[in-house]
Amino acid sequence: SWTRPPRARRNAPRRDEEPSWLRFEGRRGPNGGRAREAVKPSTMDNPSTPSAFMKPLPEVPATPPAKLTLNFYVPHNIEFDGAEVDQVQVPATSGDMGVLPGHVPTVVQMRPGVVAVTLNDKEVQKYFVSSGFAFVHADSTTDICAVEAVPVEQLDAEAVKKGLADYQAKLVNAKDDYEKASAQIGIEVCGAMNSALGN
Amino acid sequence: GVSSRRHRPRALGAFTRLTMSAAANSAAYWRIAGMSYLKYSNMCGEVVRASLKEPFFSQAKAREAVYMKASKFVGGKAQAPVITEVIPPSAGK
Repeated sequence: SWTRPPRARRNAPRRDEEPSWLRFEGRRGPNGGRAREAVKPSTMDNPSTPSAFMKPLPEVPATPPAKLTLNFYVPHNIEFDGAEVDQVQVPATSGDMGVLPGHVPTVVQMRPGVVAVTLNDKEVQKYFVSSGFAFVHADSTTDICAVEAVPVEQLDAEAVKKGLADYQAKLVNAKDDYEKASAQIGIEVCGAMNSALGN
Repeated sequence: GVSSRRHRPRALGAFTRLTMSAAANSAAYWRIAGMSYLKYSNMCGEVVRASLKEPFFSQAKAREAVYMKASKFVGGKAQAPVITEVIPPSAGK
């Protein structure tokens, strides 16, 4: 015999009104009605964060690599770009430091002095650096950024000695703190150039 | 040598006063005299450039020159440009 269709639940929306996404994915309240927090599948992408656009950090090797990767830049020139070298000696404000593959990651401020790059076991190239910063990364990539880096052979010994005498005179005749500091800078750099030239 | 460009003595901000205080690690001499690191670094560069041998010395002079051209805009129209050109003197040669 004919049986009555099941009685609709109280407060249930009519079938043609109810959206299909709610039927399968939505959460319903106790009465079967549309729940207040129905979860609608999103049509938008999740927002990107800055890390999504960055290259992943280079892997830190388990054993130190055989050679150092050196990047040595000045604003107007590239001295070394990704070159494989044995060792670099850097004149930091806290003292001279030698960087070998596997060096602890460091950031140092350089004082006016000589950067000595040991290419193979024999060849050493020396650059006089005016000032700047040196960075050693965990994968033994070394970045040296200087304002002026000249091979030591390009320095003029006479001009350096004359400059040193000039700045020492300027220090004596300095009128205010600023001029005194300028003269001290000249003395510091000329003194470093003098010792780089071996005097 | 160091070019004798005029320097304006600036009013000191809070950060500047903090770095110049005579604490356990006191500031560098150039910081105490009122120079920024940028100024100190560029001065060191000038001293090095002035002590170069001849062909490199003239090549380095080009790096020291400063050329700026600025024009103010009033009501959408550019006014007369102001050109600033600084060629520092070369000392010692």
